[in-house]
Amino acid sequence: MKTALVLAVLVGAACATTKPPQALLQARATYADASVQAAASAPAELRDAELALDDADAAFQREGGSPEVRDRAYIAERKAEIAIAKARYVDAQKREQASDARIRALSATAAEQLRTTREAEREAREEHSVDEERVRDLEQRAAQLQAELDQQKQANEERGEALENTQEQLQNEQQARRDVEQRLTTTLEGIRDLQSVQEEPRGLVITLSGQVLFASGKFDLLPAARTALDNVAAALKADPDRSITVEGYTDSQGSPASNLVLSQARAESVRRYLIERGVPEDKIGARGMGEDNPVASNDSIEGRANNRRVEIVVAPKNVEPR
Amino acid sequence: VEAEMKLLLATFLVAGALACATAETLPPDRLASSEGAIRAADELGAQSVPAAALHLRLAEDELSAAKAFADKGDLSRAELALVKSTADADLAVALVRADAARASADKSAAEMENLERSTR
Repeated sequence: MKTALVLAVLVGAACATTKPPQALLQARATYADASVQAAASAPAELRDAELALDDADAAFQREGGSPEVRDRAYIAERKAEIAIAKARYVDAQKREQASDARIRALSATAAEQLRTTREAEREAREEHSVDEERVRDLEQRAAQLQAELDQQKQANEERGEALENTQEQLQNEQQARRDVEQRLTTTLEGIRDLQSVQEEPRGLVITLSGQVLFASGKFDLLPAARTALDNVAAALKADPDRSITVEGYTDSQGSPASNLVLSQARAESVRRYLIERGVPEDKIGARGMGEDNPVASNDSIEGRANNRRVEIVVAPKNVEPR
Repeated sequence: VEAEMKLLLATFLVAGALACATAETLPPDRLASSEGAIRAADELGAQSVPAAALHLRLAEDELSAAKAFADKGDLSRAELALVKSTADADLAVALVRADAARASADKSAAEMENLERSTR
């Protein structure tokens, strides 16, 4: 019994002084790392590791470097490693959560920036649309003004042409009138050489001597009469709007009735000739006046010669022939 | 000789009976815990994480050792081997999860950096 007690003391002393196995040392070191890394993020796992290490230490205290000690140290080390892995897992999760939060914040900022940009683009588009509409209005107004200007220009050109035509026409008419007046003047001057021309209230009266026009008692025109009447016709045609009346007169020789017939025939002869020479038929009339309205005394030869006459009365304008 | 043969046969029979008896004495809860942890590590993809794959292999070896110890009748070592197997399998699971979390965190960090660059 005494010997057994001595042996037990010796074994105990040996254990107390035995160096811990490598596995236990390694477990302690790993646990120390875990205590630093996992205290906050994996306390439960760290607690398991601590209990396992306590078991290993207790076994070592009991048994020294037995296989059980190594097994329990092994278990303690694994549990410490589990605590460290769990801590890394938690840290990774926290890091991911932080990243996700930052991503959400950045996304929100980006979304706000995008919204602001789109709003600005929309406003720009609207402003651009307003500008385009304004430009379209201005272009439309410009086109309208241009059209009005073109119309005005064309109208001015037409008016200018019309004015030019009118002026030309007026000039032509004035020239024609001057020519007519000149011809009339020339003719009248020629006529005045053969007969008298007088302005009277009833109109312009051209008096042709009966001796020049007809043989005694006849109403056929003499050749000399034709020349004189050609000049008269030319003058009358120059102003075709005026009405003309050919009046035949005789002296008092013979009966008044025969004188009236003779004067009518002579007036008609002159009328027909003038029509042949171009005087408008509807503008010229003829009538016999007989021995009425003598211009001289029928008592003398000279007076009767003057009474035998034909008067061509050119009426003022707008008076129909009698 | 016949007596010796009978003695030898009896010895084998006793030894076999003893072996069967110790194999059946492995604690079912610890055995189930070890096997469950190994299955979990495998299903989580421990084979794709080198450190986790190592501890998964160790867990499987410890499970086999536990059965061997039990077969030898060393229940104490067998139980410790089961605890070691479970610890290795749990460590494999923890390493897989930590690795997945790290990868996910790295991905988020990369996305964050890209977004920061794009929003500057």
